[in-house]
Amino acid sequence: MGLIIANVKKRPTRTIVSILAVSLGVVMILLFVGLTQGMLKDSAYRTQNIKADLLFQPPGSSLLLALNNATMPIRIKDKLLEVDGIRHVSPMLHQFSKQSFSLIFGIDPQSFNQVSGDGIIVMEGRLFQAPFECIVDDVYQQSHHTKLGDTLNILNHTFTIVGFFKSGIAARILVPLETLQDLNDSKEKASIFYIKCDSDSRIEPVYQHLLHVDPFKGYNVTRASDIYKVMASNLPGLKEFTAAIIVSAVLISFLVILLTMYTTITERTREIGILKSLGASKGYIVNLILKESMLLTVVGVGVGLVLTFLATRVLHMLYPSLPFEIRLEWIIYVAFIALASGIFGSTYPAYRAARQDPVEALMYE
Amino acid sequence: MQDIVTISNLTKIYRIGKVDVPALRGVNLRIKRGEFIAVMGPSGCGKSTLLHIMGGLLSPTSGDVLIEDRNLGRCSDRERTEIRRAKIGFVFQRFNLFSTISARENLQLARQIRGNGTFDTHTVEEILGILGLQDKMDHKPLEMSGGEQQRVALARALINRPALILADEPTGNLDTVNSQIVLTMLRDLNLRFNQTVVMITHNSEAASYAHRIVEMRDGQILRQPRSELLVEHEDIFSR
Ligand SMILES: Nc1ncnc2c1ncn2[C@@H]1O[C@H](COP(=O)(O)OP(=O)(O)OP(=O)(O)O)[C@@H](O)[C@H]1O
Ligand SMILES: [Mg+2]
Repeated sequence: MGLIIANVKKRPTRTIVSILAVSLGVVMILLFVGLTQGMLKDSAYRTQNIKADLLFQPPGSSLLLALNNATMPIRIKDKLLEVDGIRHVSPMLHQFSKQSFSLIFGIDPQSFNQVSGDGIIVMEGRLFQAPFECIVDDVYQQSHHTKLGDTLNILNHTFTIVGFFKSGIAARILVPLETLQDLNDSKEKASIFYIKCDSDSRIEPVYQHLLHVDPFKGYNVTRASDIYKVMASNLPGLKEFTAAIIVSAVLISFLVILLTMYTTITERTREIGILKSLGASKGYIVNLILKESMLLTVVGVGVGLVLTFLATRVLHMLYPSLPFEIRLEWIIYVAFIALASGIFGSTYPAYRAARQDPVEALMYE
Repeated sequence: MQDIVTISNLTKIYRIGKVDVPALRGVNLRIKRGEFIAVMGPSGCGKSTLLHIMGGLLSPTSGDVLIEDRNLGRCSDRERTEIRRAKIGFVFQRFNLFSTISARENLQLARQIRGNGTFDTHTVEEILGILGLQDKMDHKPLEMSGGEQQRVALARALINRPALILADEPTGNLDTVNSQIVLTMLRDLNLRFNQTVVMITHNSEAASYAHRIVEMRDGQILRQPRSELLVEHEDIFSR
């Protein structure tokens, strides 16, 4: 162990570079997975909290509202209300605000509360009553340090913040549906209908009806219980992209550890000869190299975790509404991946070292 | 007394590309337990090759090398490693200490490779005492003089109490004073622990510390010189 630590210390730059490479992989994977999972979970959570039984959207649209702006005529609402088993329908139109990097929902409070039950809980101030009034949730309030009466620019129009509502539902910024329709050039349009059924037992029949019977056929209908799943599948290329990130992280660690250990054993050819002259077996030498690379990767994982933590902190300060979800199982998974790439990266150098001819190694300059 | 090394008809041919380089051509040698032997001869005559084969670092082309009762020529690489670990201690001209760790850690490493067999701390203290190293143990090799480094290397070779010490020009990099110190120590250790030593040297003064001098030429051992006969006679008289 003393020898391993001495070796690692002897080339501080190389050691730091390989540790950083491993930690970079860890940070990449954890941040990406943490952010995508966190965002998915957060929007699924907020959508679920609306407590609609079914979500009804235009054909080809996505549950990840930031990714699409398809709309449909608002009169479909009346058709939906005619369906047997549907009790309430609430239209919503959304707009993604690049300025605040968040979604803005235009809602109709009356029908929204019918669907939602508890609905929107205004903790301070009041609900909007005039066209250019809006309410924001407490997360937005805290992160932007807003007070009642402050203004907000949406689609080049100034809105006055008249209330703060309890976060965890819908979007962080809510405005009157009609106002958003006007500003958005979407008069009489909605991007989603929230549907409440007569009772839980009516959900499935209504769902099947909407799926298969004209004029609803072709529209996107989602059950509340499927929201997370559908969102995850709506994120285009999520799986592929996650896999690509993991593969690149693994490759970086693997190659850097390979290079590090390879140069290490070349540089220490003589020392390997000495070890052999002292009676060290092949296994001993393999073990030594593997342990050294393990040390690098373990420290790399540790540094990676610390950097990930710092990065989420910084991101949280810059974008307080960015939800991160870094779960223990992913940390374990990533640590495992890093260690595995460390082991694989050092296998070939270890094998080379173990096979060194001792006499030649002892003569190596 | 039992022979610790028995070499018969040993040959070693190096192959460089398609050219055969014979380094040993039929070496026969017996070494008794507790003997201190000096191997001399011109450069390239095969001294190091012989030593490496005796230590199991190199496999012979033909012939037998018995260390106690194990025939190295018939051993697998793994078995030779084991024999080396258990019975051989090397000392090199270039000291070959690990420069990144202290003298103490160098010795610990040798012990650790040997495995945690019963270890007599008393003997270790005694060895360090004889070598005069107690207060240098926490220095790194580069913080020591050549003579001190070679003494550490000697301690490392001795620490596992090997049956056989193989030294390849141990004083080749030392000045006269340090050479004398190291040689005296080798002789003291040989006397005190009945430690068998085979030492290659180019220096006849160094060789004079040995009981017996083996002369090599062109991969063979010359007929035993008179000095050996003298030593053997002395032995007989001293009994
Ligand atoms: N790895 C090798 N490959 C090819 N030939 C070698 C190798 N090692 C040694 N030889 C050759 O074998 C012969 C004996 O070499 P060896 O090193 O045993 O000589 P030596 O007596 O120790 O010489 P020196 O006193 O210079 O150390 C020499 O001719 C040398 O060139
Ligand atoms: Mg030599």
